[in-house]
Amino acid sequence: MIGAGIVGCAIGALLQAEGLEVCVVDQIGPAAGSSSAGEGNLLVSDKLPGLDLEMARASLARWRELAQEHSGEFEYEQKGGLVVASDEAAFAELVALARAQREEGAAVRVLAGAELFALEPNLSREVAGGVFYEEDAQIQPMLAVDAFVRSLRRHGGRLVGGVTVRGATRSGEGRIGRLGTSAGEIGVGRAVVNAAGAWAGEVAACLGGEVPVTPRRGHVLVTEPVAPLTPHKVYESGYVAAIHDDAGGYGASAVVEATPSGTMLLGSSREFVGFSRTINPAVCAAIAARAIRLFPALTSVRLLRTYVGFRPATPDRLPVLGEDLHAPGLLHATGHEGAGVGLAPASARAILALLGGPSPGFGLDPFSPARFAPLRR
Amino acid sequence: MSELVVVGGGPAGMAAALAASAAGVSVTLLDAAPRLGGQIYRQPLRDADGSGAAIGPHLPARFAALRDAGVELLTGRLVWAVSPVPGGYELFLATPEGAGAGRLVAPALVLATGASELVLPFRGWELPGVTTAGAAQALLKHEGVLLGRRVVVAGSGPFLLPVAAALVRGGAHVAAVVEAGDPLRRPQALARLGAAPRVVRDALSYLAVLAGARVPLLRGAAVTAAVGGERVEAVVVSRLDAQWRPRPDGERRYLVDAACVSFGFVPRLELARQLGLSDHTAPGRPGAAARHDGGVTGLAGVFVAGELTGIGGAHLAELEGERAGAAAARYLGHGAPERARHGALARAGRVAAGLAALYPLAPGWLEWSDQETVVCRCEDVTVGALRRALAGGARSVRELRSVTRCGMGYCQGRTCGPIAQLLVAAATGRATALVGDLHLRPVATPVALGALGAPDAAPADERDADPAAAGPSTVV
Repeated sequence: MIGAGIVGCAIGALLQAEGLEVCVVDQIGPAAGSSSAGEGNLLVSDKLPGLDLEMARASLARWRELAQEHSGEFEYEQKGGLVVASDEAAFAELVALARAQREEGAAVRVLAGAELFALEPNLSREVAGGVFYEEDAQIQPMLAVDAFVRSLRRHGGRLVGGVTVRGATRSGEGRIGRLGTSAGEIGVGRAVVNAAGAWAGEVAACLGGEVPVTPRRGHVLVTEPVAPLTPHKVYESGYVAAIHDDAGGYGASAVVEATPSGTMLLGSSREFVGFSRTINPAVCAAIAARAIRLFPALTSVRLLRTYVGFRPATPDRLPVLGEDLHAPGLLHATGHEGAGVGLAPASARAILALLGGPSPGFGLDPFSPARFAPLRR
Repeated sequence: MSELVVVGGGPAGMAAALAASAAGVSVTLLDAAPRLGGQIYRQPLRDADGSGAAIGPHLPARFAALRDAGVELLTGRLVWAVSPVPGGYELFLATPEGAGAGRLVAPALVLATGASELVLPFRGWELPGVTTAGAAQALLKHEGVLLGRRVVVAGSGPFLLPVAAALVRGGAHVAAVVEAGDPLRRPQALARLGAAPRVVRDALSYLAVLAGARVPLLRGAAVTAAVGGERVEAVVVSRLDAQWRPRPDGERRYLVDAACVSFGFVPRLELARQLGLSDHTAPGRPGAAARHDGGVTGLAGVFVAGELTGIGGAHLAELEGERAGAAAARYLGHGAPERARHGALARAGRVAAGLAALYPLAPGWLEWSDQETVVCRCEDVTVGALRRALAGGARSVRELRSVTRCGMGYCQGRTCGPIAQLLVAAATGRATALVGDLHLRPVATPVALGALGAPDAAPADERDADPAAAGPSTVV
């Protein structure tokens, strides 16, 4: 397993528990990349009807079970998500999306006027309307990774940090037989899984494979601890459009939520700027301004820190779960964009299925890297 | 708009502003405090003549020179973010309370952001009345207020003596000065200070004050517990072995109403890290210092001076400030003479290295606390919680923070970050440079979200339109 983020560790823990022998390697260590740079969202609300929503709902069902198994270990809270629209036109679009999601089983509640402000008293009265998604939840992803790592180790699996993957040696049939790393070679019996998130493209290339993943940078603002302005996750309806919008710029869209420690997390932005870690104060200002538009009381709340993270983005915004076309024995589990935390358990089920386990409860073909084949030379 | 913004109004920043200004550069000098001087030369809020003479004999001349040179002073302002823009750097300002205070753009910067104090935890250190030595000194200098009537000054390093002497002069009864190290057992390092008459003279003057007040000077000892109800009522002072482990025999209780603690300083790297400047960590020390070559950094137009580049004291900081100011002037095309005082800089650097060698940290401080001792006060993280995380496999400060929240609170790890770094290094047997630190996620100081400003607003000097905001800049 290459990558000790939430996806790699969820897969590693599941495979080890199912009797495979797992070794997770990471260039730094557990949750050192994007898993510690997001908000820990488990969302159905931002998923488009179809594949996207089907997989998300299967994954969230699994998160609910995990939260019971690991009671209290990673701050799981099914707090519910409220998507709000700033004007009537946006509200109409939001309601149309919600209806389509409801047809596929998502629990949605359309809210406007007094009903909306009763649910969310601190919300700006400028908001036209909203949709409440009761399945949306939040976890503390670093603690969840820690829980997966402990489970992995309890079942006899290994995790080694500070290891860079260098290349692969192939066996007679062309499958990867040994993985070359900065810490020596690792024998591979069944498969190498590339769960390197935004760095998965580089990892694939050094193993003779290919996966079209690019880093899509986001900023998160963390405030001082305050009395919670909202018990829910609240975000602008433009957020869903921003995910699917390839235009340049910051892609800023307000996402507001409180954490159990009292701090508030404010997102979001989407930029294609490589792996640059330089905080852009203009992006911070844009996020703050949009968040204040939803919750005017945020004006006087102080910003404590900001951080950036890199979402692993694919051209069609869907994850890649399947065997590389050029490198037999190399399975990809990446490309989750901003949904890696939410989709980690489903991804683990998918990889288990690819290695001969039971069906994950959703179709795997659409997630295969084969879908990008026509894009290649 | 000034050509050069100097961030930090301590010895380094003042010297940089003067040197650049003397070469014809228009300079803005920023500081968080209401008046210049930095931590070391902190001025009283109110004093008889406003000259600063009470704080440092050469300060009146320095303040006058800054005034005469036309350096624009912007005090009571913090920089919460800095970012490169076409043609220079943009600084985002806030007041110490976190209100927005506009933006500045300048082609060149001198960062002279100084250092914060290192404190190592012991049982009861979170009791009211236990503070950093610097905080006690600041309170005395700034507001003329004594932290307590009966005080113990403890920790390690040359800073304990001036703080203790200032408390005596301020009227406190200093029950003891408790130094964990034993500089007299390091004759080689001590001998190097022979070449530093200024340091020796200062030390002797502090010792004279302390001797006059019959203050006991303990070496190889530490405050290993503070006890009390509402606030500190007594401290336990233990004899230490060479590794700073408490010796079973020597323990003594001092009745005090305040304890001032300092184990040296850690450079303030927030802005340097925001700009992506590289830094380095000294063996066995927490934190890191900005890398530079004669004050010049890897980033065009950004210069560094003072404690930010490594702890060296006010004299070295002034020399470095002068050098950085001149380098900035040359960068801006003002043809400042290359008159850096190489000899003086080299001497001051050797003295600083000598002082650092006199006061190394030792790992025995880990035994001064118990499982319940709180390390991160903002997030209430105990030594026990940190030890459990380390036993669970955490190998870096980052991992420790992830599973315990240590350093994620209001102060952003300013106090607990260096402690966590030393703790991880000790537990994993790795160098402090390799375990990381908590200077990771920059916002240099908390700032109100409403002050971040609309993304498209022009960078305006809002203070020009606000006479109240401009007020402090007229005071040196």
